Amino acid sequence: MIIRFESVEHKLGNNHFHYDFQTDSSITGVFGPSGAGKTTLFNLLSGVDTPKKGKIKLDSEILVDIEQDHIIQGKNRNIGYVFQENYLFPHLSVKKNLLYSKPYIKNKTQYISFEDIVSLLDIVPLLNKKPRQLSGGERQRVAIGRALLSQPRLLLLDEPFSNVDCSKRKQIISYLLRINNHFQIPMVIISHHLEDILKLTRKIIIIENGKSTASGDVFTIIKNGEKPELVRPKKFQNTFEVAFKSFNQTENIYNLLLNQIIEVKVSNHSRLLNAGIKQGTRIQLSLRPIDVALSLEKQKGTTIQNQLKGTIKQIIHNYEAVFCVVDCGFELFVEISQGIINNLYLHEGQEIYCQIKANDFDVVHVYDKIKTRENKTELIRKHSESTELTIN
Amino acid sequence: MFSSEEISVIFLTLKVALTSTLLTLPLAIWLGWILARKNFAGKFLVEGLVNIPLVAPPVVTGYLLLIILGKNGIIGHWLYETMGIKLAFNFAALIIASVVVSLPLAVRNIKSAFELVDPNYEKASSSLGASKTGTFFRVYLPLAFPGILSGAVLAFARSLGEFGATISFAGNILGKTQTIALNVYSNMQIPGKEMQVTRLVIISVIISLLAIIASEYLNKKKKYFVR
Repeated sequence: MIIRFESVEHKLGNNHFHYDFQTDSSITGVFGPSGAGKTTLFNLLSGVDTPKKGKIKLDSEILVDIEQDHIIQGKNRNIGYVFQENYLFPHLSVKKNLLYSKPYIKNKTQYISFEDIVSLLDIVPLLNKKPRQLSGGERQRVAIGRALLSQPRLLLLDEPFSNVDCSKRKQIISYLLRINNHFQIPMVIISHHLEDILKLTRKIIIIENGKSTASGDVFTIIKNGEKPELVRPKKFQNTFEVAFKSFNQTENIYNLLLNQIIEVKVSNHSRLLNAGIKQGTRIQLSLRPIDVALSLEKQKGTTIQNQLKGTIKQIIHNYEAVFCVVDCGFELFVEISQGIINNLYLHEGQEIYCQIKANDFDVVHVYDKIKTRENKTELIRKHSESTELTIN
Repeated sequence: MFSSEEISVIFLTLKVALTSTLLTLPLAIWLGWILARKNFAGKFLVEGLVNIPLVAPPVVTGYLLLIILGKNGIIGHWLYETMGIKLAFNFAALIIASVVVSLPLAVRNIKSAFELVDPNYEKASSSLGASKTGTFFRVYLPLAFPGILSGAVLAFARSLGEFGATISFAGNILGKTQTIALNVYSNMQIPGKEMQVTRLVIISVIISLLAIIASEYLNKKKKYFVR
C-alpha cells in the first residue's frame, strides 16, 4: 500500500505542520521528538482532522484533496487507529470492546476473525474483564485487537510502547510482527524511540518541528548524510531477518542463516526460541552497535562465537560517537570510539572482522509460518467458512 | 393505619413524582447533552432559563406559569380558545409545575455526567465506524448513565417536596391537586389533625431519605464507572 502526502499543510493554534512524503512499506515507522507533529499526521490520515491544504492518497484513492474540495469522512476511510491512550470503552468488557465495530463492518471485506484475534494476541483469558482490570500491555493488545476487528486496510499505532514497561515492549513488538505477517495488513507506527521502530522496520518517516524532513530506509538516510544524528549510542539497532538452520544442544547454540549463506550463532537466552523450531523458520534479530567489536585479524582461542569478515564502507562521526558501517554481506552499524580509529588506522575500504558474542543478539520475533505468508484471499475464505459454521 | 384521604394523597404524590420524572428525563438528557458538549449561540441564555426555577422563589415560578399557561395566560388562552385545553388547577398543572422545578436539578446532574466522559472516546468510536448517533447511544449514554439515574432520583425527590409552584399554578384541591406537602400544610392549621400530619411527614421523610441515599450511591458509582 502506498501512502502519499502531497504538500499537506495544517495549522493548530500557532503550530504549523507540513507533510510531504510517500511510503510503500508493509511497516512504516514515524519517528520524531515529542510534540513534533507525529500524532497530527495520524489525525490527518485517519480523518480525525482535516488539513488546510494539500492532498492525501492511499494507493490510487484520494482521501483528501483540499483544492477539489474532496474529503472522505474518517469513518468511511477504513483505517484502524490505535490511540496512545487506548481509549478502551470503560463500561464494556474486553469482549464487547473487541466486538464494538461489528454493526459497522457488514459491507466490508472481512478477513480478520474474532477467533484469530483472541488467539494471536492471547486475549482469551481477558475476555470477561473490564479495561480497568488490565495491565498496560494487556490494554494495548486489546486496543490493537479492537482496531483490527474493524477490518481495516491500514493500521495506525500511536506510541504503542509508551504505557508499557521494557519487557512488555518486546512482547508488543513481537505481537505486531505476528499480526503484520498473518494478516498482511500494512501498519504505520509512531514512536519517539528509534530502537523500537528499528526492531519492526527500517522504513521510516522523520518528523521534526511539524515537518516531514526525511523518509525512506533509515540506513540509507544515515549513510547519505541526511540525518547522521539518527545513529546514537544505545538508541540504535541493527536488525536482520534470518532463517533457522540447526540447534546445537551441547553448546546450546542456534545456527541461523542470514541471506541464505551467512551463518550466525545465537545462544538460547530468549524464551522465543525453542528446540522444536522447524528448519527455515524466519526469525527477526536485533543487535546493538555497541555490542559489535572490530579486529583486524580473525581471533583464535576466543569466547566470541561470531567472527564475520567485512569491509568498512563508511565512517560516520556525529557529536556523540563514531560509527562504522561494515559490509559483511549485509550492512552492520558498529559503534567505536575515536581513539580506536586512530590506533588501528581504520579507514573506509579496509577489511575487518566483526566480533559478536552469541548472546548479544536479541531475538525480536519468531514467525509462525516457515516462509509463505498466508494469502489474504485465503483468510477471507476461511473467515466466511467459520461464519457459516457459526450460523449453522 | 392510613385514612382513604391519606392514601389518595400519597398515591397522587407518587403518581405526580413518577410521571413528571419520566417526562423530565428525556428533556434533561437532551439539555444536559447540548449544554455539556455543544457550542451554539444563546447557550448562556438556555442555561439561564433552565436554571431560573432553581434560584427564583417557587411561588414566583408558579405565578410565571400561571401568566403563561393559565386560562387567561399568553399561551394558555390560545390553547383554551382553539383546542379547549386547560392547563391550570388540574393534574396537568401538577405535572407541569413539577417538571419545571425539577428540570434544573436533573439537567445539572446529567450535564456534569456528560462532561465527565472523555471526549476522546468519540474519536475511538468513530475510528471503529460508528456515527455520531451511534456513539451517543453506545458510549456517552451508558457512561453517563449513573449520573442520569442520579439526576432522575433528584428530580423525583424535588417533585415529592414541591409546594410553592404547585399551590400557585395547580391550587390545593383535595382529591384533585392536593399532594403530601399541600395536605400537611392544610392540616397543620386544623386542630385534631396532628396524627395525620405526623403520619404523612414520616412517609415523606422515608421516601425522601430513600431517594437521597439512591442518588448518593449512584453518584459514587458514577466516579467508579467512568474512571
